[in-house]
Amino acid sequence: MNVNKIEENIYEITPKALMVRLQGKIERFQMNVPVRIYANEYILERIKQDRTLDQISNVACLPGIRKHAIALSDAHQGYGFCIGGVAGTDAETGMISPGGVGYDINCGVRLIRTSLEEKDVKKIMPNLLDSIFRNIPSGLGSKGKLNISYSDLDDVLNNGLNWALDKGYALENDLKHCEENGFLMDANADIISQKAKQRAIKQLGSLGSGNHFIEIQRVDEIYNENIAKKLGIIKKNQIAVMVHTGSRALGHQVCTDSLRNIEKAMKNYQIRVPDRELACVPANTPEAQNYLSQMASAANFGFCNRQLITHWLRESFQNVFKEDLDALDLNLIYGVCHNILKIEEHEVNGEKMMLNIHRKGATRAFPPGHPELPQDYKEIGQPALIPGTMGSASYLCVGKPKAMELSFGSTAHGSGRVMSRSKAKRSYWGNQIKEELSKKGILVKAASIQVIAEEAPGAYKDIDQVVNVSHELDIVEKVVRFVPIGVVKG
Amino acid sequence: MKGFRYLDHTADIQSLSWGRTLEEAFSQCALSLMTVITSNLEKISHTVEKSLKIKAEDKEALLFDFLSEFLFIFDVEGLVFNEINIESINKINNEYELEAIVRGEEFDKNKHEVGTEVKAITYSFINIEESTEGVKIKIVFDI
Repeated sequence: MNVNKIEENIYEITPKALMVRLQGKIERFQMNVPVRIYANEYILERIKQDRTLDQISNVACLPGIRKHAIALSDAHQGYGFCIGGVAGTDAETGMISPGGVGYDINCGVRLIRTSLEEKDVKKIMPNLLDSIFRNIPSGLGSKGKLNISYSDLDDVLNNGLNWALDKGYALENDLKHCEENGFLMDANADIISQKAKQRAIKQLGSLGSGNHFIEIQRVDEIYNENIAKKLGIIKKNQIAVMVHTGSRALGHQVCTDSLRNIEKAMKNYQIRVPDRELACVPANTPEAQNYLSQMASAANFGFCNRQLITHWLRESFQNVFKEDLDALDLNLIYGVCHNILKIEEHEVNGEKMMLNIHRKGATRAFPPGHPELPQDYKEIGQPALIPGTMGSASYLCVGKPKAMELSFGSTAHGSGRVMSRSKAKRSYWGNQIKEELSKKGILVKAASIQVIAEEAPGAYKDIDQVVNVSHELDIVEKVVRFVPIGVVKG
Repeated sequence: MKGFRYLDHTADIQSLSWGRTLEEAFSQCALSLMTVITSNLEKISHTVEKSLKIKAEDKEALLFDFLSEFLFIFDVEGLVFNEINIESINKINNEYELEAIVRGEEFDKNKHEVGTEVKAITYSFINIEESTEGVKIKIVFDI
């Protein structure tokens, strides 16, 4: 793959023909736009080790794609799209691809601050983690504690966080500080398959497994005190909690159903794609509109899932510290979605246009003044949350104007893996990782010891380098660096 | 001549399964999916038997839908299986049809190994290779 360096941290693959083997036959596809890679040399070297660049080059072949297909600094091989990928297609005639969002629709991250300091939490950490672990279902096949009816589930799908607010699981501020206010209005529970509803009804309010987590973190470094203060981060060693999970089986089944539906329809529109997982149809077709509506419903489920987890986290903190919310703070700094499709205005060749922005493992990072920002963050830019591994830092950043120019207002969503799960299991022992982290002052509680080995910090890229690329490109500005001290893994 | 193993894939699981016939390779592929969820299949007893019937427009879609069914059954009924007998895969008109009998039991984290949740089956780099020597399947599971 011929990758040209354009300038510091920016690489490009120029459009060319791709020869791809599909169902035993070699077929030719043409890239419609260049591929952009935001990386330094360390990262590019790792990105080249798997099929990330093949996958993002395939994305560049999608009909109606505009400007460029982007691999961010955390990019790695996924399915269909690479992870850490962003693509914008023409809002009317461009493609809508469920694979460009992924199975875990509205997987995302939340950051909740506390008024506590490390010294308040350190001694009581085992109790705190136990309480969280008991209070929030996690791990393989985890089921939420709620016993909701199918009509409640429809409410969740149709109304997102408005449902949670009505039921007393959310504070008003939670909605204000959540991407889209925790509610996508194109949702329609009536078109969600019975299969998706059956799979998910017991899962609302559960963490799941894999890379999903709840982390107790301490402030390690503050880079911009003014902005940090506006976000409620005032001192080193202040404690915050980060939550990473998505829409559970609801999203998985919606994507599965839509992928099958769309691949059958694409023949009618004479659309060909270089990877069957990229199945897509033009935005102005009933099949695309049906997917967008289902995706919005799944996203609403994802918002509520993280909200219930937040609610139970607040309960656990209050029980363990025997103090009320006013004293403990536990306000939501911000919540982002990192697997989602949005219709947004962007500039392409000096012309403003509406695009279907597919973000797959990419975090929205809108600059100061953007109309989508909550009033209290208008001046500072949108908080963008970029978590690391259970053994490394996580970052709170804010979006900058350059993000609109370079990356359709997007930044990385995490460290990005470099090592396969099977290799990680061969290379690490779960218990040994747990012990090493404990020596570093990080207590881990997990539903599966196997998952600890799979999620070993050594299986990921260096988060500091991943975030530095976005910071140096001025896509985002680093505001606070956090390090974990307590981790709950599914 | 049947079995499966996992290939290196950065984020998800790519399995390679093989068998003398399409039925055998499909069955091995389903076992490779079960092994991600719970690593020691020998610990699964046979208290439940189910018959599955799947129809799809081509072999890849048939495999995709067949494997997706196990994720659905796991989420809704909590069942895991270690015996997957595919009785037939037939092409009828323009459609493929699979019939299988599967045996297993309810997943119990105190009895079975706790593995990783599989979010979905994917089409990414999917490959079903049939030759005179047998059938090989490559497929990626989203974790």
